[in-house]
Amino acid sequence: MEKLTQEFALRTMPDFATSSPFNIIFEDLYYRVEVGKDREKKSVLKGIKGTFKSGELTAIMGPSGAGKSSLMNILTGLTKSGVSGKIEIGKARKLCGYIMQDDHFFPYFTVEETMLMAATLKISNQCVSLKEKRTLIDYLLNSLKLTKTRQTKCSNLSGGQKKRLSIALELIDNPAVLFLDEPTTGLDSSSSFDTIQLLRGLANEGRTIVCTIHQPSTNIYNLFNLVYVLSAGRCTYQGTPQNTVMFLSSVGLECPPYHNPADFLLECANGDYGDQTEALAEAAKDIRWRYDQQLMQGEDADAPSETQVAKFNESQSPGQVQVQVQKIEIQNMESSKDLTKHTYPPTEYMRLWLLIGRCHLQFFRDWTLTYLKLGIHVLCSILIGLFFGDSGSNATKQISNVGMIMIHCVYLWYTTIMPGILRYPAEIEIIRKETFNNWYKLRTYYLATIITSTPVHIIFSTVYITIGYLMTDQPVEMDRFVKYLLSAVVVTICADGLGVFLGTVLNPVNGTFVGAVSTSCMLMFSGFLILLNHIPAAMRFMAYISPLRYALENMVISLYGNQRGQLICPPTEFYCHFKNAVTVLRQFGMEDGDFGHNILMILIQIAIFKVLSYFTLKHKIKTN
Amino acid sequence: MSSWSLASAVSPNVTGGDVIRLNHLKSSSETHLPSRGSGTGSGALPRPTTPVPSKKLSSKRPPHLTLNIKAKSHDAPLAETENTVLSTSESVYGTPLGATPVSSPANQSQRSQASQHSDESRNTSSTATSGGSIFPHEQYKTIKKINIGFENIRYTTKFGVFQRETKDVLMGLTGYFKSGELSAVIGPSGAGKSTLLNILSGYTTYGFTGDFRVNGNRRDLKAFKSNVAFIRQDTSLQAFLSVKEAMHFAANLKIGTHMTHSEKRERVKCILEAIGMYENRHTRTGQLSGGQKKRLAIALELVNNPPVLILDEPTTGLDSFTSNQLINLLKKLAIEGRTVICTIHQPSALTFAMFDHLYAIGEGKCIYAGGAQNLLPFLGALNLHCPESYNPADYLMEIATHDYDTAEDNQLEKLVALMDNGRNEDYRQSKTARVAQLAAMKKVDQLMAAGLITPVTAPVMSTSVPAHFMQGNTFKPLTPINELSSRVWDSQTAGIGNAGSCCKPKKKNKSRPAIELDPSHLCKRQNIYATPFYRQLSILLVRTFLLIWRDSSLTTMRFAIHLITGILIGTLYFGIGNDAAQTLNIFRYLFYTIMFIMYCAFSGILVKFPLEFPIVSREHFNRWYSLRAYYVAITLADLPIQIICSALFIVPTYLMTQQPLELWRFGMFFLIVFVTALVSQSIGLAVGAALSLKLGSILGPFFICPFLQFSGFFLMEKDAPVFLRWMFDISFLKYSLEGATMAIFGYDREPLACNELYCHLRHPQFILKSLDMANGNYTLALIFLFGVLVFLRILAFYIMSFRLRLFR
Repeated sequence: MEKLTQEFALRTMPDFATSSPFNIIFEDLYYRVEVGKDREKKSVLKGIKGTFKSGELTAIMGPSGAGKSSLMNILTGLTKSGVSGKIEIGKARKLCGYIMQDDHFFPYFTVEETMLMAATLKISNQCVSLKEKRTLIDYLLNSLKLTKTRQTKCSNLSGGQKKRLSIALELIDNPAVLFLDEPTTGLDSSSSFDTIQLLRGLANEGRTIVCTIHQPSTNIYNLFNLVYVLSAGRCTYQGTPQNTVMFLSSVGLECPPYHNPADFLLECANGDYGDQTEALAEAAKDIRWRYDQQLMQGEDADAPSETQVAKFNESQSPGQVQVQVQKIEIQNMESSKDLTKHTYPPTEYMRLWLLIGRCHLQFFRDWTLTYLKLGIHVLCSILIGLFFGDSGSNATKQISNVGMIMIHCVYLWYTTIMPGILRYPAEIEIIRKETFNNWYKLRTYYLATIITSTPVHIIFSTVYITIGYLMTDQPVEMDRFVKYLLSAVVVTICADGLGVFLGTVLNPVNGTFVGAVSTSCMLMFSGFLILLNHIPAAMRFMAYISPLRYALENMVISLYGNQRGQLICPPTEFYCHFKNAVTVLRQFGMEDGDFGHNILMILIQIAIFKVLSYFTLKHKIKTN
Repeated sequence: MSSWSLASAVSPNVTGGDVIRLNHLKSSSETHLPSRGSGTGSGALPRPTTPVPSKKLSSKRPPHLTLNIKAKSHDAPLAETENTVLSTSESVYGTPLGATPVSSPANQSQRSQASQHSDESRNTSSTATSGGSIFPHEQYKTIKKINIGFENIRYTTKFGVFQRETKDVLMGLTGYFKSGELSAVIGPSGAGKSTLLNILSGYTTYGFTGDFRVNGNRRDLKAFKSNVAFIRQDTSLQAFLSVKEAMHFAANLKIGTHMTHSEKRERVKCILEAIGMYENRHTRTGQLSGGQKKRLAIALELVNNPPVLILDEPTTGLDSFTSNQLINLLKKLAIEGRTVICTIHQPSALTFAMFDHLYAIGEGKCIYAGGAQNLLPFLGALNLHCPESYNPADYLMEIATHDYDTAEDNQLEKLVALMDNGRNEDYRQSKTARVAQLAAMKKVDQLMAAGLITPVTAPVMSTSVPAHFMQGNTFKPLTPINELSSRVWDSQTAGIGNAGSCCKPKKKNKSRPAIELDPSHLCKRQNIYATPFYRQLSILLVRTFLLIWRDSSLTTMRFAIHLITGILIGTLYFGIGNDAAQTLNIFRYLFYTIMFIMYCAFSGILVKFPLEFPIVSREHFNRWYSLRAYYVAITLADLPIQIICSALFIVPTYLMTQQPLELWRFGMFFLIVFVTALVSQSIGLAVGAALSLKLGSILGPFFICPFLQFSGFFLMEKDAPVFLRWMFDISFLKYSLEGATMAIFGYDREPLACNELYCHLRHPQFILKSLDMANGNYTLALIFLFGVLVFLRILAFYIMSFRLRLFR
């Protein structure tokens, strides 16, 4: 097992380390945005340039409004308009991973399950088998100190653990470049140090890692290979952390004792000691600050006091030891290198299959969505069945029987449209992260959710309708029952489509309100509260777009059409007006109804809602 | 005495270090100063490894003579230090007074007072206490002095499936937070910082043991909470209110009638100017930046001038400059006499220097309690020397997370032992340590002057000092500061001064002996709210109306949907009101009206309370209002909206369908529909209060749909099974439909017009009989609906109350 682990450790190391390094080079980079009502152009980045090398951990620092996030978004490809300049990011952006500041996971999955799903989504089974994926996951969890939390649900992880899990998820397909937005925000000093130390180790394996960071402590600051400081859209420092004191000294700024050099650097960049942006920007163009200070000691006779340098070296000694240990490990691994395979992502069909499995797991983990709702369905169905008694065969209760059908439709519609409104807003952050990091395409995810939810709706409505059908003594003929059930199922799926559409267009408050109103409006035009032939011609078009109307008509036709026999007239009644089934059809104006046509109309509406929901969801993901 | 001796033992080194620091701050352009600085620095390098109290030194010579000896050997640096102190001192207390031009005479008097203070400090023969202040203007502030002490605090939490496993979070902590000091509680994650703050503020009221002392007396939690403002990390504000409106609502809710309306407005303006947000006063709070939201959250709690401010991680999520700005504001608030306590993760050097008192927790124990400047000598006593490139707070955090442990030494336990878990007071901040603080504050003030940071300062809260106080001072030039301060307190509480924070009637004040004066008992009240119930109610009503109208998306949508649907239904059922052939359609129209109003009222309010819960929880804990006032306010505020919505639907449909135009029939119909809306709304409120946002949306429909089938519309009661007829009696929709039908067809209505050959349902009495409502009673239906309404309203209130107490 240990040998296999080592083999995978080697396999996760990129080929790029030797064949083609992934350096990020940008030059003359400008970024302008329009602000205010007069659409005035404002320069966020003003002709900056820099090189982020592979094998290095780079930190982008600066005060708020300096352009850190803008630079990160430009390099990752999130921001494209308003950018001018030259950018080189190796081969393709698909080899990049972007870890955002906020961590979003599905709360009901364990760490191991989350990792396994990500592995199967990102790596095809043809190049890495399932057993090998598990070995890879073990290796990653062990490297990131997450082995103990293997069986912990993601909602119970601490802040540092969530951050490391985000990193682990993006390391599965071995990206050459990693971007992290403020990986230490919200963590304490110990967790921050662990995270940055981990990133340093990952960078030493040959990756290019870039992150933005606030206020690092001294020991964290010393772990970076390169510090890139932005101030007012300009680069005011580009060099190693160890050269910070000498750099500031070269422009006449002395770091006081017991002061964090990172804090002092940011204070200088922000003008705490006068407006130094111009001087710092000029001095930052010198590339010698990128190299080790030992080379500088021989050249510069005006070095700062030896006491300060000695203190600084003393403070960074723990990091140095760790770096050396890392290098030794890498050399040992490189000597037994036998990489023969290259990982590539699975096909989109395989991802669809995997996402369907994940949606199923998630659905059944959330007990309120499934078991509680199914129980309530059964309870309500039994209640309605007891309530209407033998209305299916009693000739004196046929108006009530049609009323019962109406209640069934309203119930299924209303209890399906409301959860649909909240489905995607709750998950939109996760979808955005995963689609941006090329886990899958949005249409794959959308199709997976449709394929997962449709059987659930079929099962729920079948259970509900079957109980009601049997308890109310409806005609026991298979073709009638199948038609009856089919109408209920399609109207349920249609309600889900409309709910999802409302959820992606409106916010939860307005979506809930409009969902209730749509239930009332469609009930009005269903043909029960007012007959279709009584509707004025100018408003008859409303009935054509009411799915409840088609469903009600179909269910009535199923029960009373197709030459049904006479209903039972109780002996206590002298005359039964609805003894003949055709009388019921005539009463509601459904004598000429066409079952197939109505089903087709509902299916068309389902298709329209599903397609519209996809585009509104896509639009919502792209806009923040 | 012992603490002062120890402080004097270490103060020469601290002073030396500060001199170096000050020189470095000045020496950006002067080239000759670095050499002198390094020379002095090398002199300061050897530090005492073990601080030893020197009782002999204390007994022989006063402490200020020690300073004089040092001044002789370092004449120039100390002189610069004094000039810097005086200059910064003037700039510090000049800024808040500058915010109010009217008080310029007071400014002059305070300057003369400053000179007198320096004279008194030279001539006095008694020893000043270590807590003495070098800010002479403090004596004029009317903020109550509240010192918080706690001893042997232990807190255990339970977790696991059946709450069987326990975990010790706090293990016997002891500490003391002084008024006039900015105290910081630091520690790694999971150390117990937030737990300690929750216990201190009264947010957590059970599960802990230990003693609390407020000014030396045992803590009365109810009285204590009225002096505390707790500002938590998550800043939830009403997004639709502007900054000025939010401040005015807070002021009106939290300040009683002892201040006039114009005085409150003046105070709000003064606070906004002081914290640098006056220019943003018309901005909605939803559009503020992170730092602005934090400052506004503090300002909202400042309107009633609380003597204690407790903040949980106020700088999380802010960058270094916004953090420095915020800590600077807190420091200035503390200088005025308040007790300010906050937890903080990772202070920068500039932020660190502004703290008066540091209380560090590691693994539930106290690893340091003392002045921020004494942290380095404290660590040095244990052979833990902080590298010069390190922030001392970062270094302490690394020690707390066992980064410097060896096989033999557990450094954290050594820290706890030396600190005696918080009981060791040898390292509390000394007077001379304020020099570095003033330098740090001056640095941030320079940033504000340069326009790089929005200027913030402490607002002036007190009224002007009467003139005869100044005259009285001139007659006693040699009175020590402490005695003068206590005399000012005595005079003001006697009723001479119009102190804003004192609310006792004058009679009761006079009956108290002056010697027993205790500020913590001055404003003890039975009611912990500043305003009476009806005033809270009126203010909350205005705010709720504002929020409803500002949230135009939902309100406009409600109005529009009711009107459009009304016109739609009116068109569908046009002219059926007096047509005997359309009797069944009239019945369907009645049913649809009730059902539509029910659905809209239910859905419109279902998600309202879950969305507002974080805001209500925070405001309720900080005693802005009682839950009863909030509940009645949201109930009353939605009544006009619901009336308008119902009218927008009923009036068009009633007229278009040509229902009988007798006004009393319309009134009866409108009333029954309106009460139905209120009942549905109450169901939505109860469900929304009990469940979360997601669960409420999923399970909410299950609470409303069963009433539909038992309304009597789909199946009459006589046709239902006997054992289910009781469900009609508890279904409010049945009574609504019955009441509406009685309003239209009952009470001796004339027969409907018949235009066809035969109309089966023509006589109203026969219509009621065929609808199984021959024995219907409108009054009974209305009484039942009102009963259900009252019951549901009370139920929703208790659900809210339960949730506010338990799940915050």
